[in-house]
Amino acid sequence: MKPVLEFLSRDEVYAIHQTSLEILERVGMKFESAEAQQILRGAGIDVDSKGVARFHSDTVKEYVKKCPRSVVLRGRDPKKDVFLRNDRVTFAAGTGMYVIEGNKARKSTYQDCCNWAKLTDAIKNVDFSCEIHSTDMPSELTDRYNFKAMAMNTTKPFVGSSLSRAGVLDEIEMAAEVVGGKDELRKRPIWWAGYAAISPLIWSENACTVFKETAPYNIPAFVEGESVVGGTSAVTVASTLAQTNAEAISGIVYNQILKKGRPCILNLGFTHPMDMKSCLALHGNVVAGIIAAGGAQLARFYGLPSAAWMATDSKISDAQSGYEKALTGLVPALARSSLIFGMGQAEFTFAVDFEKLIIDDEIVTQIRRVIDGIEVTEETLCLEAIERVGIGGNFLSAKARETFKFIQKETTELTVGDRNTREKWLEAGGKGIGERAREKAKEILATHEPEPLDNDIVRKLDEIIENAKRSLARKT
Amino acid sequence: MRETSSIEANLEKLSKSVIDGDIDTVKTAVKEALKAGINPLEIVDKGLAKGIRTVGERYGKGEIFLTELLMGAEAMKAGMEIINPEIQLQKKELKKVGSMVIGTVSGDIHDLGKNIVAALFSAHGFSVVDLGVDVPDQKFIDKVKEVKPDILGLSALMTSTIPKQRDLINMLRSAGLRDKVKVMVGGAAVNEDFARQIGADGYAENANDAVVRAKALVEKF
Repeated sequence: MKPVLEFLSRDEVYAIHQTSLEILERVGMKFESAEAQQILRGAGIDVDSKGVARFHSDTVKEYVKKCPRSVVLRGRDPKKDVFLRNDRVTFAAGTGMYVIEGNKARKSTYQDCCNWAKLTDAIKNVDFSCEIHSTDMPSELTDRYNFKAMAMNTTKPFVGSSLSRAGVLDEIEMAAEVVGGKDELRKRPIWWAGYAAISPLIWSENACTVFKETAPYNIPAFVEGESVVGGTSAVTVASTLAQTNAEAISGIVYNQILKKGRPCILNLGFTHPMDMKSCLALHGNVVAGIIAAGGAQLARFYGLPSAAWMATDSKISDAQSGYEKALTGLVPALARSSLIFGMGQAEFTFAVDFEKLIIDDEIVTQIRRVIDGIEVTEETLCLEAIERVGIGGNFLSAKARETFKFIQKETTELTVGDRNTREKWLEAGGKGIGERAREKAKEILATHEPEPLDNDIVRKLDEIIENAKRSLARKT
Repeated sequence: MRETSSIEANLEKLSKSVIDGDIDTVKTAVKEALKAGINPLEIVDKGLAKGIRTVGERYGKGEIFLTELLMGAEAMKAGMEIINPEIQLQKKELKKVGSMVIGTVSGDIHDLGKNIVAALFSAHGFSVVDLGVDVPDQKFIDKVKEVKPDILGLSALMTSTIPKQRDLINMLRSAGLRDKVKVMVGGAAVNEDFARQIGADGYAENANDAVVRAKALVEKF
């Protein structure tokens, strides 16, 4: 059996769902975009003069039903496509605006984003990649630069950001160039539009715009409720789930009004329990993992994919970062969260650490083994092998040959972790995992060559960026 | 020319099937090679032994699992069982690699590691006398006197039984046998330092390393 962790009984899922519906009817959700307000009114939703939309529970249910049950994230290389389902767990790289090197952090650059994409392209456990910010570029244009860096250096699906209407329109143009035109983009969206509601209960102008502009191309919508627990949602996990679910579900309704059948991901897994002393939003707190697990269960109730974040608040690759990553990854994975972000991420969600990505790769290998569970079949019981090996024999001999095919599946192998004797470990330099991981990251960056993007396409991407630069100069 | 290349192909097939741990193919390939009139010593050296050397190298580099190492050894053994009578029949002699007496010390009944080591030593051409587990001290001494092996392998898994390895080395000394045999010790709790402290000649972390070390010890002998 493959274990599925459930924190909520059926009745409790229903109670949370009903509370979300009540929130949307009684309190409502504010849409800051006038355009969005108009679109909602056009669909018969009650929107008051302040932009607060109150959704009838039947309307919510009707629109949520229109979502497809699976979401496919497309890679530049179709072999890298990721089929998200609510019974399958996938993993993604983290994002950030700093790069951690040892005990220090520095602002990330365009070149860092290229390297990050390249490293995530090489690591098998990364199902899809995620940009880090090109902070050395003009701040209004970093979304385009990030997009170019990602498109050039990975053939996996990736997550970007869109900073403005002009930004998202440029990204659509860039994505169309990469896949070979806008018609093709509708079939093979290589990136998605992700936005979080501003808790409590607001959809920002920019979120509404990005969802709208990407809707005609059927680009998957990653719809998030991302509260700071105890600050922008009540301190209890139950209430946080009910509120963030209301926020995200209203975003899904908006997306389905924009385009019926648009693939949507219901993400309640990015909430951040607040430190009640310092007021900081924590990411590595295991409560975030519990909320994500609850979110996954709710998403399954709607038949939608879900998401979570394996995170740490530690600033370096230390023991805290190891245990926080393992726990915030394992708990949602056991709850079958569809995609778990954050490989390589550290220091809340501010920074990435290249060596951490290598260590997280190892953690993910172990997590994947846990959720594979215990397979019990006639074959895995190996009765014939037991008879053949007999009393006092061993299972390494050819007598147990038919069991060897299970070695890779049943056991785990480490790539940078240490399982040697002290002698062998000393012989190899007596290093800690951090140092070994750093060396491995360097080695991959020096040797891995991502499938290059056609030169003509790169030129087109550059043209789009140059045009954006010129229109920015005209404005200022 | 054609004949040379078919001999080469045959030996190549043999070494490959040892690498794959494919016992059945090893058996048929050995029979084919003998039928084709290839010198049995050449079959061993350029076919079977070449295969097991490759398996050992790959294991040493961490490229294959222990099971594959052992399957290679078993395939080698299956081939040798067919070829040995033929070697005797033709009154030829295999190049002597070395001889070994091995056992798990008294008080200890663990034999997984010891069996793997014994199998691998056999595969590499050592003649191996395996005394089994919980071997009485005197039996080791008597066997060394009788067989005069190049290597005495003492296995002990538990921290409570590894001191027995020291006792046995001292017993060899009292019996005037210490300089007649190289003593190798092994077991999960044994390490290089301990081996040196108790006056053993060799220690290896795994069965493959043990073969490499034993060959070096025998050459020096």
